Parts: sequence; C-alpha cells; structure tokens
Amino acid sequence: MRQVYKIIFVFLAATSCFRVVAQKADSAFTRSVRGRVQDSTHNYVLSSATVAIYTAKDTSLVSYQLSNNFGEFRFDNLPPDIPLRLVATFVGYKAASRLFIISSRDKSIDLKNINMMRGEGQLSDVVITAIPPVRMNGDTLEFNADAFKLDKNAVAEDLLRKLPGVTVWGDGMITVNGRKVNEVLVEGKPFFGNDPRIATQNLPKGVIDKIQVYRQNKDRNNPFDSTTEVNIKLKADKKLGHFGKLGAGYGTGKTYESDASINYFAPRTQLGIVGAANNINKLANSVTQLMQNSTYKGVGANIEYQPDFSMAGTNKSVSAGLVFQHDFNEETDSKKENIEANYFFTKRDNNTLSSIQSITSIGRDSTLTQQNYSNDQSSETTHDFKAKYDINRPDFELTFLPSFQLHTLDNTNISDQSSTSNTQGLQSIDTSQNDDHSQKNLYTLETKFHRPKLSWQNNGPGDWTADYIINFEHDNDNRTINSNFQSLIVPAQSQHIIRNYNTQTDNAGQHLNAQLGNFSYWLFGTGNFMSTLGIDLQNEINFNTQNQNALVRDKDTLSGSYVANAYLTNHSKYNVVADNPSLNLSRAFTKSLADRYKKTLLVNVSAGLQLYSQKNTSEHTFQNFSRDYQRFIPTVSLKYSDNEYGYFENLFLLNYSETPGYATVEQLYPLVDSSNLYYVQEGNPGLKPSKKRQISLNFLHTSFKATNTFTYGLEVDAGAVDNYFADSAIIDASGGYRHYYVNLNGNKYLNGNGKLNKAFRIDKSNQLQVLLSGDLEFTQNPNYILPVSTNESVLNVSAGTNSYNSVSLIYSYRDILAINILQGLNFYSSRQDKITNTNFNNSSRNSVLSASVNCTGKLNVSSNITYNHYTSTGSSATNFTIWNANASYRFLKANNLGLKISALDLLHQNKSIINSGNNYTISHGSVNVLQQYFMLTVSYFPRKFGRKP
Amino acid sequence: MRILLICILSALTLCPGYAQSVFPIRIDPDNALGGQLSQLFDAVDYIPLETTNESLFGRVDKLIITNKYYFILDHSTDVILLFTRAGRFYSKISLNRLVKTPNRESLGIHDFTVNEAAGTVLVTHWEKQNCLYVFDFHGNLQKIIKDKVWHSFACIDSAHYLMESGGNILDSAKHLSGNCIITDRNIAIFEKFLLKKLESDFNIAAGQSITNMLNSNSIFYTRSYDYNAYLINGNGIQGIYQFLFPLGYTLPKNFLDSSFIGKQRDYIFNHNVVYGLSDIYKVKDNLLFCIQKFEAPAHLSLLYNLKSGNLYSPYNVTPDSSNGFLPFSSGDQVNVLAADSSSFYTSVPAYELIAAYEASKDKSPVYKLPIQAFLKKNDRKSNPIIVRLRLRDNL
Repeated sequence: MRQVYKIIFVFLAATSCFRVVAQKADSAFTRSVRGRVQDSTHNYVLSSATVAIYTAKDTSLVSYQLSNNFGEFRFDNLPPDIPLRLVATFVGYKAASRLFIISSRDKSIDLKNINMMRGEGQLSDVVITAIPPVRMNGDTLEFNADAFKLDKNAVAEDLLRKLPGVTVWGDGMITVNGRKVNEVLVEGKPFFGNDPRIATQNLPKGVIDKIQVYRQNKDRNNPFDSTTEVNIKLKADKKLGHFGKLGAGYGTGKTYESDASINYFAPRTQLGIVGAANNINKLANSVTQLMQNSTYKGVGANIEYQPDFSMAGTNKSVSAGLVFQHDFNEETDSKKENIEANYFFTKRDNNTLSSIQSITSIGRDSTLTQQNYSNDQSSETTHDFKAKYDINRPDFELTFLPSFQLHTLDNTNISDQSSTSNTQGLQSIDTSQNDDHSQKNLYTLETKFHRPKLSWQNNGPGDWTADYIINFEHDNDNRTINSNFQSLIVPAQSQHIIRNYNTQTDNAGQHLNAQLGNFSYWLFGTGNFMSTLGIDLQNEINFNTQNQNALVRDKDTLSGSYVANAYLTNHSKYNVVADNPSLNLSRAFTKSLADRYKKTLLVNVSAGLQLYSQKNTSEHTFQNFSRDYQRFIPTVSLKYSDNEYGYFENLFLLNYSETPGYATVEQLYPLVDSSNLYYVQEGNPGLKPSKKRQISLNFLHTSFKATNTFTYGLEVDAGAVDNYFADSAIIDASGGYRHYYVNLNGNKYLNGNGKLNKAFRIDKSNQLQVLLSGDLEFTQNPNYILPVSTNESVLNVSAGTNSYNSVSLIYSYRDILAINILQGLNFYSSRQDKITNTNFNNSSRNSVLSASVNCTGKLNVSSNITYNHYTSTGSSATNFTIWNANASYRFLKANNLGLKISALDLLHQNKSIINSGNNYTISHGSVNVLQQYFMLTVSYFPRKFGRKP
Repeated sequence: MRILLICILSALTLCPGYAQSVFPIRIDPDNALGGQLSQLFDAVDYIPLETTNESLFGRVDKLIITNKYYFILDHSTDVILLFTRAGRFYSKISLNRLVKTPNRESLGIHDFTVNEAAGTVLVTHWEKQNCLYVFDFHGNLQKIIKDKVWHSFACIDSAHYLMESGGNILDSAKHLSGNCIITDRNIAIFEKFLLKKLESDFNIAAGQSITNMLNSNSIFYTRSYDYNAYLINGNGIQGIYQFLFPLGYTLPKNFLDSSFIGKQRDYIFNHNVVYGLSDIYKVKDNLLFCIQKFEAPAHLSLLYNLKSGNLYSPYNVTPDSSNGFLPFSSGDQVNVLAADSSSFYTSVPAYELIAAYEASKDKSPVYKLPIQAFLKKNDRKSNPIIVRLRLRDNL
C-alpha cells in the first residue's frame, strides 16, 4: 500500500542497522532489542520512524534505523549490561524515549510498543546530543548533516560518501541504491550550472542542514520509472555566502600558473567570477570548466587535473569568465521568469615548431615526398557572451537568447617546404612567411516560442513552435604572404610573390523554423484509422547574404611599392535562400501491461522539399551566376523501445535520410590564387549537387538493477554519396598541386562504435568501474590524380580504415585511494586500388597507470605514467614515456591554504607525434611540446557562508 | 460559514421537487484512527484472477461487481475483462476494431457501467465521446447509441441510469435544465433533471464521481467544489450526506463567486483545502469515501461509522496475521474499487504481493488455500489479485 519508491528507501535504510560507535571485535556485542513504534492515540503503527539507540551515560549514538512497514525495529549486536536509551522520532510527533539494559543473561529483549504523541518538540527528561541521522519526511529520505561526524573541513561530497546507499563513483557519477542521480540541486535549483561537483566539492558540510533524496515518478503505469534527485538543503542562516580560490605557482623553465575565482550565492541570485593564466597547457573551454578546476575539495583522491602534455607547441593562456543567474519569482509561483548570463574571455599565445613529412603515391613505384618545417606563432583572443531570458507561463514559453562572439587572431607562419620525387630527386623548394591579422565579430539574437495545445482546444492544430534567429557577422582579414618558390625541374615556374590581402566580409543571416500540428483531428476527426496518425507541418527557411570586398595587392620587387592585383581584387555579393517545407507523419504502436512492461514502436516519415537558390554577383563577370534547385528530401525513422519495468530497457533507433550538397562559389568559380604552388585551388563550373544517403542504427541497453549496473550500446552509420565532390589533383613536374572538385560516384562509408560500462560496488568501501569503447570506420573515396610526369590520369579509389579503442578500469577505495588503468589503441590504414600496391599504416598505443592517495585529510600524493608507442609507414617506431607526480598539503585550521609540489615529465621524454592519413597521402611528424618541469604552487581558498551574527 | 457554504451550494444547484433527507457528517482527517487489519475486518479474501495469454491484463483501473462476474477495466491493454467471482476468465470487451486511437493507454476506453438485469455493458471511448457502445456479457456489440457527450454515468437499477454531461442540457418543454439527469434504460428520454453544472474557471476532478454497489438499486454522486454526496435512486435524490471539514480544509464561502474567477487555480494549489469528494460507498453502517486535495496525501481514503461517529484511515491499517501480513491495496493510498453489502474490494499487483510474501517469511504466516496456490504457481508478471475486505460490525 505504500509507494514502491518509499519501500525502496525504507528498505535501503531499514535493512541496515548502522553502528556508530566503535565496538569490540569479539562476541560480546551479541544482544538485540526489538519493539514497535505506534501512535497509541490513533491506534496505528508508524512506519519509517527514526529509531536511535544512545548510551544512557553520555547520550552518544550507538546505532539507528527506520522502522519497517509494521512499525517494527530490531537492533542486533548491542552491548550487554550497559544502560541504553532508545529514542524514536517521527515528523509531526514528539520524540519518545525508553531506558533499558540488556542483561548478560539475556540474548534479546522486547520493548513492546513505543507510544508516540502528536506535537513537536524534544524530550524533556533527557538531553540528546547526537541527532538521528536519517528520517522519512513524506516520500523524501532526509539525512541530517550534523549527525555525521566528519573532518571539520569536509564538504558535501564527503558527506554523500557517508550516506547509506549513496555511492560517489570514481568518474564523479553519484548513485543512490544503484540508480544514477540525475540532478544535484542546492535549495531546489542548480548551483552555478549543471556540474554537481561545483556544489558537492565546495559547500562545507557545516553549512548543510539536510541532504534530501527523492524520486520523481513520471509514468503512472511504471512504478519503477523515476528519476532520483538529490537536494542539498542549507541551514537557515547559511543560505548566502561566497567561496573562491586564489592560486599561484612557479616552476623551472619559467613555467607558471595562477588562478582566481570568487562565487557569490543568495536564495535567488548566483554570481561567479573566475580567471586563470598559465603556460603549462591548462586550457579551459568554458567558465564551468574553470570553476570545476578551482573547487575547494579539488578532485579528492581522483586523478588530478593536470597539464595536457600532448598539446602542440608552447602555450600561454589567460582565461576569465562570469556566470550569473537570477530568478525573478519565488519557487512556488506558477509564473516563472529567470535570466542567465555567461561571459568567457580567452587569450591564447601559441608557438609551434613542426616537422612533417608527407608521402604521396602518384603511381606504382612512384612517390612524392613533401617535407615541411614550420614555425607558427599565433595570438588569439575571444570574447564569448551568451544570455538567456526565460518566461514561463501555464499557456506558453518564451525564450530570448542574445549572444555575441568577438574573435581576433594574429598569426605568423614561417615555413620551409620541399618536394622530392623518388625518381627525379629534389624538385622544388619554397620558403614562405604568412602574416595574418583577422577580426571576426558575430552578433546573434534567437527567440523561441512554444504554445502547447490546451486540453479544451479539441478542434484544431493548436500546438505550435517557432524559433527565429537573426545574426550578423563582420570579418576583417589582413594577410600578407611572402613566398619564394624555386623549381629545380622547371625553372620558369620559380616565383617570388609578396602579396597583401585585405578582405572585409559582412554576413547577415535569418533563420525561421516553425512547426504546427497536429492536423489529424482537424482533417479526419477521431476514432478512425487516419486519426491515429500524427500530422505536422514544418517549415525551415534560411536567408543568408554575404558581401565581400577584397583588396589584393602585389609588391613590386623593383619599386618596393604595392600594386593592386586586378584579378584577385574583387567586390562580390552572394545570396543563399534555402526553404525546407515538410510534412511529417508519425504513428506509434504500443503494447503495454501496467506494472510489467511497455513496448513501443514509433514510426516517423517525413516528406520534405528543399528549394535552394544561390546567386552570386561579382566584378568578375565569370563569377556571376544564379542557380536554383528543388530536391525531394525524404526521412524515415523507426524507434523501438522495450522497457521491462524494474529490469532493463532496450532501445533501437533506425534512421534513413537523404541530404543534398551544393557547390559553393569557391568550388565553382573561384579566383585562382597561385601564391602557394604546392596547393592551388581551382574551380569546376560543371559541378552538380551531391546526394548523400545514410542509414543509421543505434542500440542501447540500460539496466535498472539496483546493484552493479550494466550499460552497453552500439551505433552504426552507413552511407553513400552520389555525385560526390571528389578531389582531382594535377601534380606538376615541380611537385606542385592544382586541385579541383569533380563529381564522382562511389563514395561510401561505414562507421561503428560500441561502448560498455559495468560498475561493481564490491562493498561499502571498494568500487570498480570497467569502461570499454571501440570505434571503427571504413571509408571509400574516389579521386583523380594526374601526375605530369606520367601524363596519365588515374581514377583511383582510396580505401581507409580508422579505429579508436580503449579499455579502462577505475578503482576507488572510499575517498582515500583511486587507481586508473587505461589501454588505448588507435590505427589507420589506407589502400589504393590503382596508384600503388603499398598500404599506408600508422598506429598508436597508449598505456596509462595513475594513482592518487589521500594519506591524511591534508596530504595528497598522486602519480601517473603513460607509455606511448607510435608507428607509421616509412618511419621508424617512436616510443616514449611520460611520468608525472605531485604532492599537496593543506595548511591552516580550515585547510584554506594549500601547497603543491609537482614534477612533470620526470623522464624528460615527452614528444608529440603527428600521424595522419588522407586518401593516397600519409603524414608523419613531430612538433615541439611542453617538457619536464618542477613547480611549486600555493593556493588559498577564501570561504564564508552565512551572515555575521 | 461552512454550513452557509453548503446551504448556498445546495440552494444554487438543486432543482426543486424532490424530498431528501440531509445527514451532516463532521470529518477531521487529522484525527482518523488506524488499527490492525483484524480490528476492522472480519475476513480478508484474496481472489487470484486466472492468468492466460487471453486474460493477461495490467491493472484494475475500474471494477464493477455483479452477482456472477468481476468487470475490470484495464487502460494499459484497453479492454474490459470479465472474470467469474471465483477468478476464472470469462470474456472480454474491446473497442479496438470499432474505434482507432493514437494512444490506447490514455485515449482508449473512457468508462463503463453494467446493467446486470439487462445483461448489458455500456462503454464510452475517448475518441468517440458522443457514442455509447452497448455490449453483452460475451463481448458482442449490440448497438451504438449516438447522443450527447456523457462525462460519467452509472446504472442505478435495471431501468434507470444516472448520466452526467459536460454542460447543462435544456428541456424547453418542461422548462428544466441540468447536467446530472436520470434516464431510462434506452438513454433516450430525459426523465429527471437533478443538478445544474457548477460553473468554475478551473476544472479539477479526481476519483470516481459516481459509484454503485452490488444489488443496491441506488448510487452515490459527487462533484468538485461541492461537499455534498448525493444518494440517488430511480426516483431522484433520496438523501444528501453533507460533509463538514475543519476550517483549514474548507473552501472559502465565495469560492465560486465571480470575485474568485482567475484565482481558483492558485488557491487550490497553495492551500491544503478539500476541493471535492469521490469514491463513496455505504457498507453496513459505514461510509467509505475519498477526499481530494492538491497537497499530499492528495487522495485520502477515510472510513466513517455513521452510528459511532468513529473515523478511520485505511492507510493506517496494518496487515497482520489474519491476512498473512500481505498488502491489501496498492499505490500511495488505499484505493477502494467496489463494494457490496458487507465488503469492500481492492486489488494488489502480483509483484507487490510476492515481494511482501518474501519479506514476511520470518513471521511464519499462514495463508488460505487460494493464496497458497497463487504463490506456488504464479510470478510477478501474473494478473493482479482482487482483495475482498469484509467489515466488522459496530466499528
């Protein structure tokens, strides 16, 4: 008669009798006590009442449990001949108490009925210093934070680890009785975004009043269908506060890192400001990531966030951001309005020195080898702002999403390239410098509106959604290239070009997506076959206009002045209008049995029409064109789910879609720029639109078992492209390439990836997770190649295989020890059907072992070692090992001050290997990377919760 | 004030012309008693329902008992199943071939009632709301009556039905109107106009507003925002049970006035008031009913003894050795589905019964033969079990 999830919670708490005090390891503690809690006035038992046993002398907590559905309790392993006090508490009742002693002659005693009276209040005859740790409040299981004795600097995560049935996994996931916690809320709302660790690793245990665990049931026919949520309820005087971090470190080789954050929260407002700067490859992609890396708790005994040693070049980064969230209404209001804003600033300076060798097959026993040494220096600045204003009413939802992104890039690239033929020897060399200064400003406003069909509106298609986006982008690019190309085979091809490009581009776009439905009732009434179909109309329309002014000037080597390049200087306007009206039909077939299972097959068929219009006007008349296309775009999708309530769910998705591709101005009528003879892009006005046909299958198995959950899934995509935009390359005698696209059939691909996740909760302290993932891709790309040396055009098909696989084990022992073992294997293989018999292969193997130990509450030691093995056709194998270690210690009473010593790349072996392949070319090389350094870091965590008294 | 509200509502909504007895009942939900199962019930019988491929169903969403059969509406399979009183499958009624629906679970069969004397079952469907489908007990369609849209209905006796429509129906010839009327067995003639519709800008309702009992020839009728339970037979309203609640549970007296328009929804959501009654049965000297609120427990079942004035909460009744410590209802409240002259009927899903059986093994329970056989032969996927709870006298 009680709800199932209540039974589960009570089972969770009541099947375990939680001992609190240390006990002797002999058989002296073998006595038991039982009884029943009841409301004698109203003559019923109280299930889920908290029953706690204290020592009578000093009222220290011995053990506690919740009464079962019959109001019964039973404590085992109690000490004999010691005065004990049983205290029963229940929401809405005065606490009841009973003093007792279990004589050593008795094995157990029965306290019979513990009567409770309505009202609030504590016991008058005894002062209980230990608070019962758990209680049922309606359907919510509440853990009283003050009842759990932890280190005084413990945070919410430490408390969660102590709660019966709650598991904090090595990868950060939280489960309650085996079920994943979907959301961790603070005071009923997300805390500085959706990453629960911001709350669980920052909020001190001392400010927490209760941890509430509850389930939200969604499907009335499925008593097991619910999502588990955790809410952290703060103490009444701790509902506002601030916390943050100040950190700085300096190391050998002038390495440094620093970060600062301050976060303020109040019942209806949250504001966080964060910043970081370093030159050790710690790059954040978002404010949330920066905040996550600045938590007070850090990552505990888990694997430490550390520099990315595989990142190319040397990097300096400065990041800063702000998050803001404000609710305009109280939680109980049915009308809700809230605003969120997020600003992120990054400045990254990079210097990469690379050496890459690319081998291209141009015929049987004939190869070209390009060697490229480059020095690339760039400085990139990005301001990214996003805001969201939400208005929720019972009959509509309206959302405004303004955003802007300002991006500047300064880049200088100096490179030395050469091309060598295996038959002719060195063909050409090129020295070039490319200086680029570009600025891109993008402003966007998106408006979303949804009005659901109200239940009493039965006579028409009342459910409609509209999404309108308007954006404007201004790009300013100033680039100078200084290229000195010398051909040893055809000296006439040699050239020295100093060319300046000043390009101003304005892009204006509008996007409107509107959906209206369901028309079924309106068209066919109810109760007939046609009424079982869902019929929606959708229209998605895009307008894009691009205005471009390009001023290109060449430097006259004699006069030293720049002269306009009449061919490349241009003003153009490019308009694209794409309208996609579609009629969507859907039908659901369901077989269900309440309390047992539900099997659903959902069929969606969409008949779409794409009207695509492109028009380009240019000062160069050959670029003026206008093309209009009409394409039928069908989509079919099948979704089958088998939900065996309480056991598992299998989900299958099958999709078929057709997508056209249209050639751009650059692919049709480009202004051909020959400043880099190793790569000249030409046009092909005869290009026809391509058509991609894809079929994809997804399968996911999710276990609902309470222990050792098992999840696995598989995704397979297969497709073919008709009139594929295939590369056609003409290779001249100097090793230069002229590319253009041609339509070819025969492009095919097959991608598959699988994943498996099995969690073992060995016991309360030991956890193990096994994660496997595998990804396999087969591609078949047709292409043309025409080496001038043979003057024979070859239609070649490149068959490529790519695979990425990993298996990892994550073991953790409480929050004391974490061990991670990972084995990764990637490989690439390419085979040509015409050009050569030689297969191109490259591979990499990475073996990682990492461990972290919390020796005391203050000292943490961690280390990880990665063995890397790379192979590539035409190159010898490369092996290197990266070994990192660090130790940190927290000082002061509140552990506010941290000191960390890091030793990175202890073996001084770090390398960055580039292995890549594309059709009949394979590349292998290396770039400069961050290498060994030692660093000392000091961190301070300012924290204050609640007002001053 | 509460009495005034009841009087105003009664005066506003009752049509003149019927003599009624009025029984005021004071209910304080916070002081309902509980007890052991055997303190309230003489006997508890578990009636397993035969599980075969043909008779497999999900949940007992509505139960009507006749002298020979259990009639069970299951929304998840969208059928009405007939089982003998011994639990043997007899037949089933389906509208799948007659009415197509995009969602059988929530837009399938809406409601049904049984006329035992006529051997007919009246069925309505969400997708054809203006049709009444008449079946025999073998599941054969006899006729379709196309008429008004009926929200709810029940068979009063072999010759009369109580029918409730969404809006008031006007009989200009007799100068009468109302949305709750008594019809003859053909549903064609509007015999008696009982109550007019209560106008509100916020419609909320839960539970069964019309309930009948085996062999009683009368039914109970309730509706939202009205604390009266109307006892109706073929002649009209025979009695009114006027429920009075403590002030904190009572709607404001002007709740249905124009001054409250636009505020009714928020008031219901933010105050723990009773907005209606439902699922009323009278067995022996007891009224079993459900009070509807927005706050938990939203649908609270209560048992009131008309003689002693004692109020019991079945939710607080604990299984004991008399029923082998097994559950006697399912869900977050005790959901009474039907009644006869001595007993109430509930149902329990098989998985819940089996889970309780496993959990109670240490109590060494003794089970009656039907439940022993069920536990031996069935599993958690078997059909739900009907539970008959025979009330003690003099509660």
